[in-house]
Amino acid sequence: MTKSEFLKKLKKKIDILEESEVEDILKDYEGFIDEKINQGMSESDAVSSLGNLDEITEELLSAYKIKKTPNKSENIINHFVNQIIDIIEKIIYAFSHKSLREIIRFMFEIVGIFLILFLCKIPFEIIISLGKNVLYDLCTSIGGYSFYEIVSGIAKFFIEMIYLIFAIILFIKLFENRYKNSDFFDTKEMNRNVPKKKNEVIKESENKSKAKEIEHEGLSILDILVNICMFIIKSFVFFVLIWVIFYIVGMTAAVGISIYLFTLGITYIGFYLGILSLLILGICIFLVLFNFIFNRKNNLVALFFTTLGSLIFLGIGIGIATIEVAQTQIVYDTENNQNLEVQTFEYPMKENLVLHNFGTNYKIDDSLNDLIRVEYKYNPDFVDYHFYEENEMYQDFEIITSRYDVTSFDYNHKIFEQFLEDLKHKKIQINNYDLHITVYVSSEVYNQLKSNEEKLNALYDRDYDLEDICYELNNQGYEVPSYCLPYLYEEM
Amino acid sequence: MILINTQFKKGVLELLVLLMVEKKDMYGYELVEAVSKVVNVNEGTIYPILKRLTNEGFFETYLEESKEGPPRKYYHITVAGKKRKKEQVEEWISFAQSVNDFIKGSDKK
Repeated sequence: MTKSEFLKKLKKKIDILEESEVEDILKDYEGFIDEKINQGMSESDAVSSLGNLDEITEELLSAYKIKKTPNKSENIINHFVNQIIDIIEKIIYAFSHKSLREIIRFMFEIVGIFLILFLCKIPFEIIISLGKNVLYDLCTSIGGYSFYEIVSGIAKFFIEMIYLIFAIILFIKLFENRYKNSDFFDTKEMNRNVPKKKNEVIKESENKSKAKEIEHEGLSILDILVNICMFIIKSFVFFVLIWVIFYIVGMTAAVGISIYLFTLGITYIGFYLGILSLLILGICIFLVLFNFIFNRKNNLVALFFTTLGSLIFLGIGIGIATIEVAQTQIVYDTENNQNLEVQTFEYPMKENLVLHNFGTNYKIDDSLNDLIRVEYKYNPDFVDYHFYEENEMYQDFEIITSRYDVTSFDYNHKIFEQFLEDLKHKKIQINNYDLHITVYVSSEVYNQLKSNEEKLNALYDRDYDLEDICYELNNQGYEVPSYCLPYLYEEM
Repeated sequence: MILINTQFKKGVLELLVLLMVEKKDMYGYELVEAVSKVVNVNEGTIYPILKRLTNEGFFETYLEESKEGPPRKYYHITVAGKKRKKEQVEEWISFAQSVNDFIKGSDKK
């Protein structure tokens, strides 16, 4: 090898270094060879005395703390897998140690890379569709449609594969370029010697401070996007926070009520426990959200144990509450209640009588003959009624309508007190404050009443139909018959 | 002449270079010649060591005119270089000592 050959090869190998450094090194070796030649050695001997070029290159690069460039004989797949593992390691590390802001930024950049990959797909798609047309003409003339399908399938597969490989390489390259030197994956534990490209041989510290300056100088589109995203997330969290505040207020009220009920002697401990732990959980969530919005730090340990504790108490509470609910007796008694107030009204039966609004609870008592007895039953502890009736005539029928007014104002208050009193004994009474109406009649009267009711209903139906017909006739401009006049006049 | 493997060689070469340059300022060719008289080494691999020691601040360089041709780059040891040399020498001595002890020990058995 001649001197110039050697120098040329060496130059190529250490091309990664800054130009002035390369020149300096070349000068050293040139000087050495010249000296040897001056000493009387032949040019090729002088060069070969320097030793293996690869070895020299490796040593030289290591003097600049640059890792040996991947050896061509090294297994390519191995190298590739190592690289991927490396990247994954870095990603995991970064995600577990970086702020939400940085992660969002990173996401956007990944999306950007995918967008670029997507754009790169377009030419491939064009090739595929063009190729299909060409192949179609070609193949159908040779071997028919099925032949075309096979060939185009294979061709498409290969083109897609090329794209896939291309995409993977491009992705890795873009990813590397962006993140190998960035702060995102910069970690003390994972600091590696990163090859310095020609234009980056400026001292590392300078490099970093410059990069930071650039970051501070102007907001890139990405930064704006990140800011917008952070704003949206924070606004969302803020709205959630409002609901959490409502929840806490409600839960606080519930705890207050629980304490009140407890002092009354109502012992649904499970419910109280559950409500209390729900309140504490709410406060925990509030703290986390609040600290997130105002960028404050959480006391994670305390928060974790509080949450855990309240979850455990919630579970215990639910368990106890289930037992308590199972123990609670639900009572439907009304009729058998001894304390019910009874008011009785009696009406003489008439041939054309119809009862209205007396309910459906009829009881046959033949000893009554032509008398109708109505019983109103209710619990006077809660409510008091004033009963009366309205009489009206419809055609030939006499209608008695039952009416009542609530006269006592203790209604709700007493119900509530009774409810609480019952709860102390794990009992819930249902319906015992309702009004119960019973009509006692003889079977003859009952039949008469029912038949009268049916007739009256039929009459109502007919009259309503008639009313409709009259309106219709009138609207259409016909002369209305005389029986229509009452309906039409009524409306006027 | 000593024949040694690469990793080991690196350390030894560095020590030798440090010792030589401490004695007097030397230029590249001179150094390479001197070192290769002591250790059997590809002469090309000494320049990278000089480069590294310079990059790490153990050597300073300056140019001086020569009668035979272009100006020569001389290497001069710095204070940090002297400290480094001291460490390296101590390391080497203790290393050699323990190896020697081991050899003596295994001879007895």
